[in-house]
Amino acid sequence: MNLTERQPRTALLLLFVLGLYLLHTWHVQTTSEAVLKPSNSLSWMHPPSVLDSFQDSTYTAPIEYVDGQPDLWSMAGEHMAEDDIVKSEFVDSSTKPTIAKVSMLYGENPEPVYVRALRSHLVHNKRFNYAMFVLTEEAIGGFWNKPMYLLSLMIQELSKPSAERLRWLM
Amino acid sequence: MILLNPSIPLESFLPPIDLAESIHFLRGRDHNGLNTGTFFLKVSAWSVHTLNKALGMPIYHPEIDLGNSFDQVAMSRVLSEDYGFEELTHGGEHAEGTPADRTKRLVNLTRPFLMQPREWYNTYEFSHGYEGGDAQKGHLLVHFPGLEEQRGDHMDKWLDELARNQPAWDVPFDKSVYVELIPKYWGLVRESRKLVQTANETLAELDPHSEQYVRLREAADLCESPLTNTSYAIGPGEDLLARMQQGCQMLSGRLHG
Repeated sequence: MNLTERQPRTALLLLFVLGLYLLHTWHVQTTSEAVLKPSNSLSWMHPPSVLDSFQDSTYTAPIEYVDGQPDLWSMAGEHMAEDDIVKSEFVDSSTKPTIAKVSMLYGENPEPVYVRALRSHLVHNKRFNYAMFVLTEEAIGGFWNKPMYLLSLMIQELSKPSAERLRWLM
Repeated sequence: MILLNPSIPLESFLPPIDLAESIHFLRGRDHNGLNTGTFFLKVSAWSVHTLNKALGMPIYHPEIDLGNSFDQVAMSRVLSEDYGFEELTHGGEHAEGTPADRTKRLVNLTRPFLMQPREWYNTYEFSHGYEGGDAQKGHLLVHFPGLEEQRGDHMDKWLDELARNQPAWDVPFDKSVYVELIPKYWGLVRESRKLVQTANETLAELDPHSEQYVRLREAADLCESPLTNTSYAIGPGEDLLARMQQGCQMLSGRLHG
């Protein structure tokens, strides 16, 4: 088989691959939009306070993501802020946290009850200056996500100078 | 899991200064021997090694059935392999006083991990109620293992309770159950370590086939097992601290009796 015979076939193949790529890009865009934009756009402008979301058990909280982490604070509202002022005597916000909680919450529409459960940690985290990491993509699958995520965080911390590291993960 | 009492610092569960260097892993002791629902892992090379080995288990040992809680069983196997325990017992089998390291002459005192009472930070919500009792006890959190399709309802119930009544669950550390239990636990860890150390000195001098060796070894294992042996199981409602105390008393008796 010589080159001239192969060229049309190669061009067809290239077109096909390009088509597949475009289709894939379009799919990725639409699915990631679905994650990032809640259906009710008003809820972005007026985030309900944590108190409201606790009281209404049917409330479906949209989650904002900052650097791939769910931004639970953005949903906290005034109730939380008031609480911090009263009870945050332990916290020196200039010091780095030494303990981090590690958790997982993934899926395009996480169950509201799990979001509220994660949020129940915020006052504690703020009061004692704990960091919190939440895995938001099902990276491997099943029960292996947790040790895998722990290992990645562990290595990330160990690659920092000793004084800047977290000491314990929970 | 849902956080109930934001006044309990996590630092209170971590090893005190004299044990801080040597301990890398803290976790709850359950009727299966171990429970990794919530645990503490130190940022250290030891932890990287242990996680790596656990993650590699399905690749290097595909023949091992890891059940449906892979990470939990894998972590336990790694500790068993690295620190010479007997085979794991599965399915909540009551492995009372499983003697560890019988084949070796001395009790291993270099294990860099410790078991703590599970209900400290894996306090279960059962279908019949919360094992942490009422708000005054000041437990840190509520955990929802099992429960299946009931789980959402139980979680909702707790979140609603917090929305209505959060200040009642916010109990200062010095009014919580922890203020008494945590120092007691570390006191027993120190006592147990000291006794086993003394026992090891005697064991080193004895003939491993002598009756004296076997009796002392048995007591030393019973004293050490509640602290580190992954297959040492504790039934629901049983008290780890009481077991530690019994172990210490028995060993102390055989050492000095």
